[in-house]
Amino acid sequence: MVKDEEDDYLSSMGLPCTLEVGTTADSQWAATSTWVGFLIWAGCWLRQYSAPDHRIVMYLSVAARPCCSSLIALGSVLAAVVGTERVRISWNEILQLPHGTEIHLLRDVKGAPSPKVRARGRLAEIGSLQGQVVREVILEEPAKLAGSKQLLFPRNLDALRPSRIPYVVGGRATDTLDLAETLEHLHPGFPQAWLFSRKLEALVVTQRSSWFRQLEGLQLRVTPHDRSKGAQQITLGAILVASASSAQSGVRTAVIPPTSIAHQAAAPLTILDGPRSLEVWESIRSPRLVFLLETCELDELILQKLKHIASFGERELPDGHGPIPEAAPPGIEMSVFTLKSV
Amino acid sequence: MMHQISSFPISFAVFSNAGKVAEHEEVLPFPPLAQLRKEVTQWWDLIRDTDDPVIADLRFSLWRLLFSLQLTLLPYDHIALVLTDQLTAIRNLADQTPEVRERLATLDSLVPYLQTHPENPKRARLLELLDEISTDEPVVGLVTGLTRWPLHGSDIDLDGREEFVAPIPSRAVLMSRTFDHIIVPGTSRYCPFQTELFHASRTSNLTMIRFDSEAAHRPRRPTLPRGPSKNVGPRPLAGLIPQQHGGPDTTILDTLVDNGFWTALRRASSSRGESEEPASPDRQHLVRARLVLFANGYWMNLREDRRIIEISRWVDGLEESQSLRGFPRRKVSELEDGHLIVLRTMGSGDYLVDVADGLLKADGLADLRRSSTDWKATLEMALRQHGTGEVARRLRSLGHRISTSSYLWTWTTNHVMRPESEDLFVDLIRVLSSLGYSLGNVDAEQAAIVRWVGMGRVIRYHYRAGAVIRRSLLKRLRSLIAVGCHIETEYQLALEGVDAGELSVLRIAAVDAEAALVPYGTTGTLEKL
Repeated sequence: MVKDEEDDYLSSMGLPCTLEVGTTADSQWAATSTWVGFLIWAGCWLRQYSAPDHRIVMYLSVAARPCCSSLIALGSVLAAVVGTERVRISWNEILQLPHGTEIHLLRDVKGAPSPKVRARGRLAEIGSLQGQVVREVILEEPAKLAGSKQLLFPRNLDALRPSRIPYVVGGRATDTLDLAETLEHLHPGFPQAWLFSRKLEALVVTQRSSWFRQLEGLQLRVTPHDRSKGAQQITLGAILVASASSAQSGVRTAVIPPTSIAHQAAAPLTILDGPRSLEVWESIRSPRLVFLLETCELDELILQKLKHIASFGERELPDGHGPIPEAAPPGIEMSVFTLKSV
Repeated sequence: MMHQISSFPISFAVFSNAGKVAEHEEVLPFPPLAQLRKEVTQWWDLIRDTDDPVIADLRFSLWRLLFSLQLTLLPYDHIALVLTDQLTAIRNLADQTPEVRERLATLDSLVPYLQTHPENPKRARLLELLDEISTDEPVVGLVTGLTRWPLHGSDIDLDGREEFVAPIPSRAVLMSRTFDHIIVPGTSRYCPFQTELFHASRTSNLTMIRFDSEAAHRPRRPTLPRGPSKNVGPRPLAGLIPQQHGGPDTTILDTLVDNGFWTALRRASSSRGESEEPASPDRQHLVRARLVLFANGYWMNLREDRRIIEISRWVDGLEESQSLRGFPRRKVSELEDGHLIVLRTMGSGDYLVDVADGLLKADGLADLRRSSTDWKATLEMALRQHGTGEVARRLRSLGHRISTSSYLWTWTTNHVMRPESEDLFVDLIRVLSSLGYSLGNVDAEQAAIVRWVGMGRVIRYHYRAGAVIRRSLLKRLRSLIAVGCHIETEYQLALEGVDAGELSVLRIAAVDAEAALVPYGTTGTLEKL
């Protein structure tokens, strides 16, 4: 594994870990490079700041567009995780919740450590077992466990991960666990509720099929600066498009083609990925907009359009905005400004 | 089996190249070609009346001779250059052009000189260079798509070095991967993907080999417009050749060729087969079409409303053969150089009709199409005689909504079998009758009903033909892709058990940037350039 020595862009995010993005295809792990770090930084920087009555616009031209919008979206998601208040379901909360409260668990399958299975039950009596306080959960799902009891006590909370919100439906529960572990590295004590909240962090306007194809096999590796903790690796898809249950589910990143944009709600950040997406920019209501284009896609028509939009731009960037690098990595060019909201 | 090429490693390599790209240029002095270029420039200076078809043809023939010799990587006595034929064609055209007739002597000496001294310095340097770099850099891309127009002598023969050379005929192939080294064997002035060649970072080693008589060229790097606040770019790289745009003697040839070529071709395409007809749109079926030029030296007007089967991503190995489930189609306006399209290369281009006719014949209904659609020729006569406006006015007076009278022309084609309703069709035949065009001795309504029913049956055969072609063509294309067949210019397809005439997969060399209104009859047929 190669590690690029220049990861200034990521270190400016103040994360307690190093990030690497790559692919495990053919047993090859491509290391994080400056361009990856810059794009993650760009998404993170944008998501952290807002300008009242204005939208923040970022033009990005890149040597190659595939995977770039995923990395910007990742930056936005990371900023959202880090910026959210700490909320954790604690043992004390479990003791205080009323009898009959619905609760969700992840249980090991007998004889196999993973994948875990989702379980649903209701909080019941508080009692004592071998001298320690326990709380009963009467299970309702899965069906074969219906009516059986699961005891909760401080030492098994990490394994069972009791939650008020259902675990992933249609996905693998272990993905959620991996994601939780990864986010814990990124932001110790991260808000677990965020995992299950319905919160769109980024909208990517591009062709869906090619975007998802580019995401295949892409991994994020998080290595805490605290070497006592091991590195955690997760698919980028699990972070960007992880969904929770049907009721409270959501996706962090929505991907829609330019032709469907009229029906899309505003997201905190929208990435217009490619020339065709640029045509619908006026339909986007997001407070932060990224125009992502390949260098060789900057033809006369597109440049005219970008110049026209920039001509309405204002000099002032958001108050107290974080530092912007003096130079971009090779193959990337960036322009940031604000536009008065209409 | 081909594998789907993952995006991230390509992006990774591209960004990596962006940080360390080095460009080299080797300029080869070669007086015979410098002299030829000077001579051609003087000819061009003398014959400027591009409205004269002989002069337009002569200018293009001269340009093609010069560029065949400048860009070829073959020895100059190679048969593929057809130098004698090229010179003969120029001589014949010059005989009709008094201004230049006297100048033939120079060409008459230069061309035979090259044939008798066949060593091509560019070829020699290219082979040397390949030998120098082949050990360390196993993936060498060789740009073969340096012009939009097919040239004689563009074949690749590298004396056994082909195995580690990846030809780059198109933008799609260039952008699909990265290369250890890319060699540009000539001026990139006319290369349709010149911007990508220099600025898409598909390699970190770009070497240009050109004669001193070829235009120096390095396109401008596209950059973002400067915004009002913060603008950030990469630090400048060393090792790049500065932006350049030719020398003083390039202007005449290099700027006129592009415009002149397309103008001449558009003129030829719109006048073809319609000379005796009035030009009024009311009396002529005009459709929006684009000129598409193929690498095999043919061209075709393709209607803009068509969607064409395009399979370059599969044939060029950018997609797995299994992923070809349906026909990938593109609008004509989306076609570009390097694409591979499937066309019928003999007859009308409409293989559906031919296959349907075969099925009709097998069922003993060989005459059904003719007897059911004979009204189309009658309608065409009426439209030419009276104009679409008159026929549309009469139909409107009978209560029909005809929003665009020019649409009536569409009914004269196989593209649309019949009007959308039986009532409208019956009234159309009545209108034709009122204008003096009757269909046999029966009354108009009866004639219309018989034909309406007949056309319904023909349409059902079209559906059957479509299914037969679809199955067979898909199977044929899949097998073609599975065996890794490389198509440089053209590949003829025989469909097993289907009499669809001659179908071919054709490589596009260029597409006219502008669509034009052309007579319907000039679309869909291949013409030799």
